[in-house]
Amino acid sequence: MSDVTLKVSEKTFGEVFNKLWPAFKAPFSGDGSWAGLWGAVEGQFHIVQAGDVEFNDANTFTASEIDLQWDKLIFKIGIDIPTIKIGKFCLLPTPDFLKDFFGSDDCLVEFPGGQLFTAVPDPYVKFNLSAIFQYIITEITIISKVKMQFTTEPPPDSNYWGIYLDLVALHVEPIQIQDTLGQSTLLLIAAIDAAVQYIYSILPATFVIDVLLGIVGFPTLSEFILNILDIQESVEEWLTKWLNIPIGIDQLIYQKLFDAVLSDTALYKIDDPVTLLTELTPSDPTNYGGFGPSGADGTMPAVVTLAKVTANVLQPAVTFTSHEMMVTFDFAK
Amino acid sequence: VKEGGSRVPQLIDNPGILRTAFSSAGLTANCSIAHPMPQSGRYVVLVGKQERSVASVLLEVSESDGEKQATVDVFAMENTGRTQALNTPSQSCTIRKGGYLLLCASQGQGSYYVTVSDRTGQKQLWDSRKLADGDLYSLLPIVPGVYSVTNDISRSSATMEVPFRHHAADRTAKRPVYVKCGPAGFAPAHWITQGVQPVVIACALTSSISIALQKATADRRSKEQRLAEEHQHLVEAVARLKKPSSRQ
Repeated sequence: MSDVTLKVSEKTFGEVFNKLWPAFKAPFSGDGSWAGLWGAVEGQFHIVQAGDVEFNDANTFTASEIDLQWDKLIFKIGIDIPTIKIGKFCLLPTPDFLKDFFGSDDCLVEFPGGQLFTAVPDPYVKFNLSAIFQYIITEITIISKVKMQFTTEPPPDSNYWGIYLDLVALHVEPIQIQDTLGQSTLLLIAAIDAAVQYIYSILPATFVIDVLLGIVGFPTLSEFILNILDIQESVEEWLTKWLNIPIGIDQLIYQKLFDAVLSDTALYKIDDPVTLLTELTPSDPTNYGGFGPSGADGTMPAVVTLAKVTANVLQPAVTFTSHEMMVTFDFAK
Repeated sequence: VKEGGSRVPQLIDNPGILRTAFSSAGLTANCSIAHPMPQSGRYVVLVGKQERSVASVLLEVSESDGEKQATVDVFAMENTGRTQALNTPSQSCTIRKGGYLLLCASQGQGSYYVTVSDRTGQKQLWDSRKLADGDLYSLLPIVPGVYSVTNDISRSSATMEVPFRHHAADRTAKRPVYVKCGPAGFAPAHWITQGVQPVVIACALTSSISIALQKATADRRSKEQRLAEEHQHLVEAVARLKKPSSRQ
């Protein structure tokens, strides 16, 4: 039997987990391509708490219903306005009397065509998803062991054994957007409006837009952009697909959480050596049985120092039962 | 261009699209000159810019072989010519007798001219700055407005109108507007382009064609009106998108 056994209940462990682990904010970014379009996200989230923490028989615990809160989530999709070519046209039709000589082709001299719009900068449509944060459902589950790890600290801090998460599995479900109020549609309109305003602001003259629209065959720039975005389904389904498949936002969240686990702070700390009695200096001996002043002339006050009593930790271990986490260790003799 | 970036945004890099003045004496992007080659033989074509030859092309006109036209991109020739001596041709081509030498500038802001000389290069036969009977000058005007068109040699003139386009219906005519520049002046004396439509001026006498915007046609809608229309169209278009699928 170990010299020391500490027991932590499931409830207390969950409270400590929820107090310590959400302390980080996780900024992230990523991008991806889909159907010839480029999209990117910039975001930041933090963990609010785990809805449920349960100890398992397999010496692990499960933190489920982990509540993630978004601080920022911006989705951008590039508008790749294509290079527009003016096609060939016939400068001079072939006169009938020359058709035998030059062949049956109707055109004698042909303009080879050229590019009207080239190297178009690719503005993007930017969706600030803050308006629909509450509709973005993210389900995260962690199954983890805990491990003990010794850490050396410079004085005056004590060295300690820390109890850390030792991740067994981390599961992030693809996000769902359950936008019951149709906010995604308003976001889309706002995003395209902003892109249209931006393009108008950089153009030397508005007739250029008309030339462009005439060639691509759309009545307005906003409809042209909407067509480029290629929204075949509802806006929220389109957004969900973009964020999950080409961007892989679940993987981005996974990576941030995984990194956070690896660099996490200790859930519990056990000083090594453990202080059993702290040093008391000076102590009044009269408190311990009544010694008088000492010294040759009897003027020196009688003092005594009670030394600090410590014991080194041996064989620390941490295990779970179905209801408790047990930390055990021995003292060095 | 990134939002808030330091680069000046530029939607178009083709300066020809905003050109409001054209001249056959200076070949620019979105213009071309076609010159017939009725006699067989070997010719030296010199590409010039700012009174200096920048590249040469060897042109052979055959009695029976070759293409109907030889296309010389003067912009490309200038770039090729930078790396080699002027007496080394940047391009060689063969056309049939009666075929055309077509000169164009695929890009850039340069203004070029071209001369055609005999095989020795000593005897100049044609200079693009002075178009001859049978030459074709084409241009692609984009900026809306009313233009003056002048033959600076015969002093004849005409007017051209490029309308402001508000709707997508009247776009991109396939056929150019054909105009004849003869001793009696231009025929027609006034024409209107439709959509993005090229204009081809066929010279029936020695010509130097100048075209200049006289009065720009302003957009009758303000930018605010246009943005409001854009927004309205967008709202209607978005309303036509599918609704969210029902959830359990």
